[in-house]
Amino acid sequence: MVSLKEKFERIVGADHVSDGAAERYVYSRDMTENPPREPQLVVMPSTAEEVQKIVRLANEERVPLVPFATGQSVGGLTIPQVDDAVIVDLKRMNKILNVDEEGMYMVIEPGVTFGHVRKYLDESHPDLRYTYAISSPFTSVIANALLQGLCDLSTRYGSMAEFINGLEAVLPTGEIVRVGSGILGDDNWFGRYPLPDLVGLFTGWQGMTGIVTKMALQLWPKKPFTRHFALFTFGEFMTTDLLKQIVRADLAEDAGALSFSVVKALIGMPAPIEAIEGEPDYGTFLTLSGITSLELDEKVRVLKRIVDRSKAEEPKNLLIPFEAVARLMSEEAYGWVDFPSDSFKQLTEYDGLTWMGTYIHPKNWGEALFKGRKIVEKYGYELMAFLKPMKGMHFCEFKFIIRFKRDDENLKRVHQCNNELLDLALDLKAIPYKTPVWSAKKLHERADPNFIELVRRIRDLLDPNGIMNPGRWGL
Amino acid sequence: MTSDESVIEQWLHSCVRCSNCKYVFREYFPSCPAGEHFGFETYYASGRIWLAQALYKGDLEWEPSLLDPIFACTTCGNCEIQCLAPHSEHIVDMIEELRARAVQEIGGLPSHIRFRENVVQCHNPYGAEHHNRNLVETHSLPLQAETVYFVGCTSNYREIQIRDATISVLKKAGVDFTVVDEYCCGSPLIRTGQLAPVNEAAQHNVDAIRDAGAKRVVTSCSGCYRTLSRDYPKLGIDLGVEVMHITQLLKELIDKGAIVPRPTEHRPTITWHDPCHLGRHMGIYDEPRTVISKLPVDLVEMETTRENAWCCGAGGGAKAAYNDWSVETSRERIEQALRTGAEFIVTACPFCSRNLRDGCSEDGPPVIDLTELVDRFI
Amino acid sequence: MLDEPKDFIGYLMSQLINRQLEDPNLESRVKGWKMTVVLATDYYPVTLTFNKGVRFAKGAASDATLTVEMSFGTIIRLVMEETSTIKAFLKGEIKAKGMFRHPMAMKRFYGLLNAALKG
Repeated sequence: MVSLKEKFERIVGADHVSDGAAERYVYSRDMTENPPREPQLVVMPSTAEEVQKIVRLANEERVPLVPFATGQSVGGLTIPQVDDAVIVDLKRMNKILNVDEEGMYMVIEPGVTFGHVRKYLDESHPDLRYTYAISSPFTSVIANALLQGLCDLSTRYGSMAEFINGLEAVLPTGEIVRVGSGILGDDNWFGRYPLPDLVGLFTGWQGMTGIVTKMALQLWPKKPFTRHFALFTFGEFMTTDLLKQIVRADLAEDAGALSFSVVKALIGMPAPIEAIEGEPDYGTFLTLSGITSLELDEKVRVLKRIVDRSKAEEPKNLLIPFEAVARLMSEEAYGWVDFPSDSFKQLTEYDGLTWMGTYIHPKNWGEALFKGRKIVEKYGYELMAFLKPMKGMHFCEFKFIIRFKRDDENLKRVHQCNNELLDLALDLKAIPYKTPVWSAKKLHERADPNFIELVRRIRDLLDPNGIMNPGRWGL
Repeated sequence: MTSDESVIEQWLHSCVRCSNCKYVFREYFPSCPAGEHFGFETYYASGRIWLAQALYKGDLEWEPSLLDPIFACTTCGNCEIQCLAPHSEHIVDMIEELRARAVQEIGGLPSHIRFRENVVQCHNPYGAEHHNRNLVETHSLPLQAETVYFVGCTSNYREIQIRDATISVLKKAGVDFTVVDEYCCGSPLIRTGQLAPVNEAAQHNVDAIRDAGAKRVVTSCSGCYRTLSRDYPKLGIDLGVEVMHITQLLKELIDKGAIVPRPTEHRPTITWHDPCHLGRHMGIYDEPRTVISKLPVDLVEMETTRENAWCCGAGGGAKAAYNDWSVETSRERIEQALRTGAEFIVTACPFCSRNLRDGCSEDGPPVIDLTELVDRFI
Repeated sequence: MLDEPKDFIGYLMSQLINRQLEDPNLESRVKGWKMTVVLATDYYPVTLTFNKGVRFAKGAASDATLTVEMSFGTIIRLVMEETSTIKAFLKGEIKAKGMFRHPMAMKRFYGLLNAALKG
């Protein structure tokens, strides 16, 4: 009798399947506090056709599949929720298939990372840019887009899912489908409309509706004139009010605000970092750009006026040109704004890293930060909030990041802290993103039950045998 | 090894598996030969660190399927360069400790065990007849000298052209040197977690070097250089003399005029391969380049150089246990070399020379040791 | 030579001054200084105690030789070379208490501050 492992080996080759103890252990957990569960196998396909065969085999054998991209998994999102799952590690599918200069998009595979996109564009298409996250430079671009993550153009354009022009996926029943304008051919991935917008069948589903094997993502022209600033501010409400004014004036391409403890980490202060009375509460990195220097100068002038006006309420608010930041700290500071992934190193202090992140209505943003801060302080963790105005101030993002040692006591305490932060967020009608299962379940308790039922019905329709990431998102 | 000295314990709560170790920072070339080939998370430094931690904490039981992820690593140390976390400079130490624990708990790999037995019986990992002292007669070397040339097993039993070129250069430069009855320095054993026979061999070497009345030891092999300089002190073994790599001595000899390269009509284009044990492990990048700059050759660097150099694939016991992958890794380096248009690949480690040559097609550029290159021009 | 303070301004100033003290001549001169300077910023005051080296502490020492008041914004303007200590002083953006009683302390501290902020 042919074993399941052998059947997978026939698809991808023996070198790309493992049921070893090491692989089962390492793929059973991620950097967060979410509980581990071992898969029975890890398989590594290299083509959409191999993915298709894997999915068909999984249907025949009723084997659960869990997609996995490049390995910086968070929120327990690649940890199987049922026993005997097979992890489908997609990092061998790492090709940038096409960059369309005129249509300003790229078509990539799931193993392509932010770093590789950055290098490829800089070398081959220097007039175009993509957008980068505060995550490791080697995070999968497709994974972050599917999970509706944020990046350094989110302040202007929204979550990364907004940038998807279309995609190719293997459905849970094994068919390879395309959505978006690419349905008319390989060189035609210009957008999603006017069509039934089925990209939404894959974004936010955490791998329950298929395995995405290809994605077209928007690129933007690089603006010739750019300036960066650091803005030091005080108080959650005053900070968010000021950010709202700046973003509503459409001045900033990006506005990434950080608890001041993160700023202190960036300048090299060793862990653990304390928030000291009298220090600013937040440091925001602002990116302004223009087609002409005149346009940029005018934006800078308006920005300064807005900040100056805010001094009536808080005279210590301070707008600092990035040149000063670089002189005071080091040239390395330009990396924080030029390629935010570089600053991720500040979060690699221990073996644990987690956050409770949400998108939230602007009216509740300040309160969420104010109350969230109290919760984090109560648990004694470093104050490391990250917040971002999203999509021209239509909504906002906030998360409290916790770097921690993964010992039993901390795993429990971190979970409790995140639990309280989630309760607060849900009280303020925020929607958690990259949700671990426990977090999704809490969302279900408060959400319109018909929405949850609709999600369930679509999932069941697409995946009649229940093989795609069962148990994910609390379903 | 005691728990007090455990580097795994020291960094038990480090590494979030951020993946920075997988690629050259900001350049995005692959950095990890094992991860690049095997692909599973367990074959990158971050996966191995989590395995080491899990085994240390008892979250994972020892079993034979762990051997490949533990041993399929050249310990090239590129991960240490790319990692930005606090434990970065201890990754190779963690892997070596993990290997030593593996050997204790479930035994090592058969090919590694074979070369350990060879070291014990024949004093070299190849099982060749021990004949170091013949060199003294062949080359009319004194019994005592200021400098001991520590030939190293690979130069003495496999890549003998490196040994011969080194002796030739040292003679031409008028260096007062000899060779001693050296045993394997222990590098292959330390790299593969087989620590038990190391101290005895090391003590023999200490005695032999002392008996020669030497003030310094010069090695051809980057692995020997690392071992004598860094590992012996950690093992509590004091050689009591200065340890140099041949590239450092060559620079010194050129600087003081003891070696004067002749000009030639044709200046060949060469490229330089940084051996991991010389570069990343010991920080020697400039000396070989300085030597090359004084020769009638033109150096063209490969796309990954110095601390970011792609490994030749031979180190850490990889060649003995995983030859196909090891040679595949060297082919990557050869490809880089070919893109430079160089006529020669020059390096300074017999182990690198051997593996790069194994990865080279017949019409590929010749791989030679820096000492051979110098010898041609003096 | 310096402790690593836990507060932002103390840490920043310690890093900047540390860079200057990499010059062994200056380091040796500074080691000979004996004075206490309070740098009173609009965020909070920091005390620099010069006594065989420099120590930083958040807060204002009551026995300061000198108290130099300036906003963090002025520090940034000095870094950007949009102003100088002299100009800022003349404009009242920097105020100093104790300078007439301890002119040498004032000269030394301004010199060190200027060099540190200009890198």
